[in-house]
Amino acid sequence: MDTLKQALLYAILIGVFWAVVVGIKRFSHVHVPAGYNDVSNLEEFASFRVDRTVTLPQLHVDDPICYRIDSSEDHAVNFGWIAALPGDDLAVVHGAVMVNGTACARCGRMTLPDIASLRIPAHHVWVVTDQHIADSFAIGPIPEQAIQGRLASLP
Amino acid sequence: MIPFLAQLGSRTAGIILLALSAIVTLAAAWLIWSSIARWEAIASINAYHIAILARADKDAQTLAREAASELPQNPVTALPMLDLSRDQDAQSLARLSVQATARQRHLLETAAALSEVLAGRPPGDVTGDDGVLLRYLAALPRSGPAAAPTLTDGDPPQRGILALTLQRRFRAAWAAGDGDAVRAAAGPLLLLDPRQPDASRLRAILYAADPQITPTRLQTAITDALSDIKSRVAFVRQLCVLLPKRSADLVAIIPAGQQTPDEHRLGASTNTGTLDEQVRFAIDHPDQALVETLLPRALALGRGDQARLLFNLLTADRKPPFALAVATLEGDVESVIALSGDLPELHPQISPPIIADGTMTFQLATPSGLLPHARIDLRIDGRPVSESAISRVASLVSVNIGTMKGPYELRLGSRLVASGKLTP
Repeated sequence: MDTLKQALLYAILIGVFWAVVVGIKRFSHVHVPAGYNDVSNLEEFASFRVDRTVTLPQLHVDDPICYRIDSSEDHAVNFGWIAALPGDDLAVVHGAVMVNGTACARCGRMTLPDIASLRIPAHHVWVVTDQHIADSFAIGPIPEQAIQGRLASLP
Repeated sequence: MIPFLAQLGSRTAGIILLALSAIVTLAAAWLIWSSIARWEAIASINAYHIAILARADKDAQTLAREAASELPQNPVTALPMLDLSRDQDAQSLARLSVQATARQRHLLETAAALSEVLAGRPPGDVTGDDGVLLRYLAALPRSGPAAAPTLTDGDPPQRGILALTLQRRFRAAWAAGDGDAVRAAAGPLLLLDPRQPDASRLRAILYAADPQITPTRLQTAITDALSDIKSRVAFVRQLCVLLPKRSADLVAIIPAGQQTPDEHRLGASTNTGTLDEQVRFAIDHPDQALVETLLPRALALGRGDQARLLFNLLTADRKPPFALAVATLEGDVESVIALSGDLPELHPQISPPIIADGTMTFQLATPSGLLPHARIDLRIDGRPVSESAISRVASLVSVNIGTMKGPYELRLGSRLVASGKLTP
């Protein structure tokens, strides 16, 4: 009986530890860095809740995410929306971004010439921002390793 | 105490328990150590991917080396350090597959197939888009660049294989001079890595291939892409071959002094390039076809000076079709009358002069609207008016006559245009 009680206690301790770890990852916050202007209406130092437990298969088109494009600690996160997922076809036709043949509303009109279809590679997503300073149009598809998590919302 | 241990006696039991606890502690230490190593390796490989994205190649190499040294048997950390075009590295893929999970094994099979393709051998049986691309890559030298690979709805391709395919396809299309294929490959290649060293060239190709892009924007794109004039000229000439429909706009980017006669003719025929430069080239490299192409352009732009230079380059038998137009542009009334016949509407006339504050003002033109450019010979009371006292703005003539008065006579050359009497 004592052994069972002890086993139960250890199980509870492990469960609490796991819940704390997951909770920290799921309900952590991210801050908008100083001078950030790639997404309109984002105020400097504003805080957003980010779910860091999310994995690539759990992400959907139009999900707001934060990601890093520089490994140095000086460079904080970037913000954007997912426009295309692995296996999607992305093209530019008369300035409109087409994803699987459908116009991407979030992408806006691009000043790019017509571009034939690109298949988004495995483990990568196509991310768009308002100003396209550090989104996929500027740096290419974002690898899943660069994704920091899914935001609860983005203005 | 456990009965078995009790039989051994307290001392022996203590030693056994101590040994057991030491083993458990060592095992726990090893577990913690390997977990930390694994965590560090994963952090390094994640940072490696971000460094690749940031095009920090040196950092990426360092991080890949770190990750591979921390977890040398793991395919995820070991693969970035392998050069699949080397047999030695390709053989190590088999060693890595021992510890691989099912998903990693697929990655290793794809890597092995890629190494086969790089060695010029068929890729074997790989499923998904990777298989399609690898088979396409293997067949590319034989089948040519015309058709793009048809991807399936299966597993998306690995980025490295997709990038290699697009690069090879672009190179093959460029070498074959297949403009459509170059354009089709350039777009996805640019999207996949907008910060690659040749990105500005790819962008220039896309601009050139898009008929909606204006010549000015195209010129800006190509000038931005290549600051070195020699490389730019070579690039533009290659583009002219690839995209003949856009060659007229492209030729205008080549400085006039470096254009061939054909390029000058092409630029002249489509009103591209600077007229003055084109005319200068035509003078230096006399060519009747080029002159006949440039002359209508000079006339349309109202550039009488350039039109005259070009007209003088024409042979006698080619001059008549242009003579009247050049004479009209120059306001040479006598030549126009000589070429068109002595028609009343070609005779210059003036409006009734207005005299005010010592100035005589009138309009001078033919009824047909021709503005004579010949020197005005004005005499008042038999005395000639100095040329410096006469100013002309289009058809408006203003003469500073001071206190002069009496009968006047206005001539253009030998032709009497008007006469009358000035009354203050």
